[in-house]
Amino acid sequence: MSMLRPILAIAMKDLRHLARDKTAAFFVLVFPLIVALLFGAMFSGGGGGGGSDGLEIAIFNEDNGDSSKKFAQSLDDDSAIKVYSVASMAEGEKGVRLGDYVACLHFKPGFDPQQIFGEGVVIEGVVSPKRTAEAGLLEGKLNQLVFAQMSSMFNDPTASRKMMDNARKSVDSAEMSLPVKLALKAMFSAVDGVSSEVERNSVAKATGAGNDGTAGAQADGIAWQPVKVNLEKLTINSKRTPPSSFAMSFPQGVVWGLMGVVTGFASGFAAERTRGTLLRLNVSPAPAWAVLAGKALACFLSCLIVQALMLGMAAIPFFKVTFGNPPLIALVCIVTAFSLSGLAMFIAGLSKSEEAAGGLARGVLILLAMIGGGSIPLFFMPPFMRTMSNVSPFKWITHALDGAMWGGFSMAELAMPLGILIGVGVLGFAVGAWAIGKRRVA
Amino acid sequence: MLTLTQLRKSYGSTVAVDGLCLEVKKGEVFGLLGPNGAGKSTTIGMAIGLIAPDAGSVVLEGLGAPTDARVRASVGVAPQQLALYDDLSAAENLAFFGAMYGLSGGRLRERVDKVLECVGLTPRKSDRVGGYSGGMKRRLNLAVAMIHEPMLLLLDEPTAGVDPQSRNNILDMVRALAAEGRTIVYTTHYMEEASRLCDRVGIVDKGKLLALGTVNELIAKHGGKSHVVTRRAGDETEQRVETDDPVREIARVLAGENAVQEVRVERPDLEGVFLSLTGRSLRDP
Repeated sequence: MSMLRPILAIAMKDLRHLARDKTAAFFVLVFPLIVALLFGAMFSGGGGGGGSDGLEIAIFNEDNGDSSKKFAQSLDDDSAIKVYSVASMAEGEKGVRLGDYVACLHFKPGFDPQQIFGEGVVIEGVVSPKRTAEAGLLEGKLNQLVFAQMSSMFNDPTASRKMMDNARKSVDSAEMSLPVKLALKAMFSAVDGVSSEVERNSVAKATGAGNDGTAGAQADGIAWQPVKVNLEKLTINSKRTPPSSFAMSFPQGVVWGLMGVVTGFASGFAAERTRGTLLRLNVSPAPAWAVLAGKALACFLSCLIVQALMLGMAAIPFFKVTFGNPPLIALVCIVTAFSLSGLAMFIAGLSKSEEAAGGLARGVLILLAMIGGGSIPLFFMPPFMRTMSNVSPFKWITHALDGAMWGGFSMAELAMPLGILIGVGVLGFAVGAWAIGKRRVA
Repeated sequence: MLTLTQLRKSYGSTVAVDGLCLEVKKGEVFGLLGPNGAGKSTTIGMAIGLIAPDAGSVVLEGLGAPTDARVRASVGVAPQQLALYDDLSAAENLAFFGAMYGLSGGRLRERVDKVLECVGLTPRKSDRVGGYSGGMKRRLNLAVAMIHEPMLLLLDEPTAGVDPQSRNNILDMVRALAAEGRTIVYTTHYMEEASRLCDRVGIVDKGKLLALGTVNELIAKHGGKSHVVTRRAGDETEQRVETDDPVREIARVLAGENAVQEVRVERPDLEGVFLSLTGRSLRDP
């Protein structure tokens, strides 16, 4: 007897079950859609907000001079920012895509946070498109820090004079009308005067004379933008930006749909045992592996169908979701289906009854989905939770889907999440098959 | 057809089957009787390869052990627990289990139609099983066991909890299967059913085979004597007399002075045999 026939028979029978079970259909299709729409609407207000201990940013300090190092250190000293050094912009961008950093700043050669004329202080970098609110906060922090450095500069007459000299040179070489040049030079002379006054006050203060506190007020009222922050939303190409909040929420909806499938199949397998139908399957000529394969095939196909339906819904123009790399999306869906079929076998193997399987599936999967960003996006979570989320296959599913849909991931970038998902699947199948086989013959 | 040799199975310190030897002949209906917890289900489990014996062997004539796929293909099982998919129709259940036994295409459709007809479910074949009565489910449970035309059928209490009509249909089915030359192992708690259906009966208790033979042989050997029950005119009480010769006892009663209002003979039956062998105390496994 061909083993393909019983495998297909079991798979078709289980798919028919799923199609006829209205409760299962709700949790597999309707509920995930609600989740996707709800989260999509919630995120559409401008991306995420920082819920973690601080903004984690990466800095690629190509300049590596004293000023840039001091500026990086000043950023790290800020309690709201945590700085990580990276060796290249590519490394920083990768971290941003993985959600490790809000942004990666690039201090190019010649970077000078005290440059107040010419182009001003220009800070370039990339920011996660998921975290625009945090990017705004970062921009504010950068402005504040540069402004504070300007203030301190006025308290340092030597630095101030050096900066004014640089500014005069810039004005001399700049193409502007003579009256403007003269006006600017007059302003620089005035600043020099302020610096001289600060110096005199400092000397007097040091010698105990004069204490009118004027020095700290020098910067008050300066009404120009001290720093220009150019943070790109990882827009190396347009595919790397989520076209809408729904591009992020539909993968979350997929997670919930897959949870429904896994719960349904794990419970269904256990139900076969308690209902007695597994006995019939076990006394049939089909070997145990064929029965398992049939079950797994049904779960696999259901996972694919759920993903296809959810992503199909996402393709409705209203949601403005784009599908950057369809072959990679298909690959992610296939690997995801394999992984979760293994997970379903694992849960079914460890459960003695339908109730136990349902309880175990819901308990474990909801926990994994929650820590994996299925309900609350990872970037809202504190760092330790984000680290913890690595154990959740759902994190890698959404990460891989995001990457393939709009993150511009290459195959190499998808290798890790897909590898982890395949590992979860293989482990689930191995443990599940062992446990189920053990129960087949008492 | 089916030979069980020195079968033994223990669960912890409990011995479920203790050196059971049994041979079921080809084409016979064999009744396996015993109180709850006697070891019937464990014996059947070992006979179909679901339970691995601690010792002993199970062999199907000319085929081998029931763990072999070819052997399984020749065996049909109707478990005591209804093993059906409630959200599939009768036809879908049969088609699915038929496919599990390698049937397909026209042959599968033909078999589905045939067994549906046999168990009287053709008019309801497209209805979901969840809406069936207990009797209909029992009949379908038997139909599933027959779908692949097995040579050996193991029917575990196939009439439990059904209405008289369904029970009658099931018994007719079993007789028809036996008439086709199929071998049937039948377990039941209904002694009257076993008496009507079974060519031979084995009574097991505490994992051991206590008695084996035709119903008449068992009655003759273990049933004890007949009783003649008499009630005379003007007397409400009955008198029971144990006798080896009921005819002579009746003649003696009728020859008496007082008019006899009622006289009947109570012959020993399989139930009496069963109770005499396994005792009258309640069995809660």
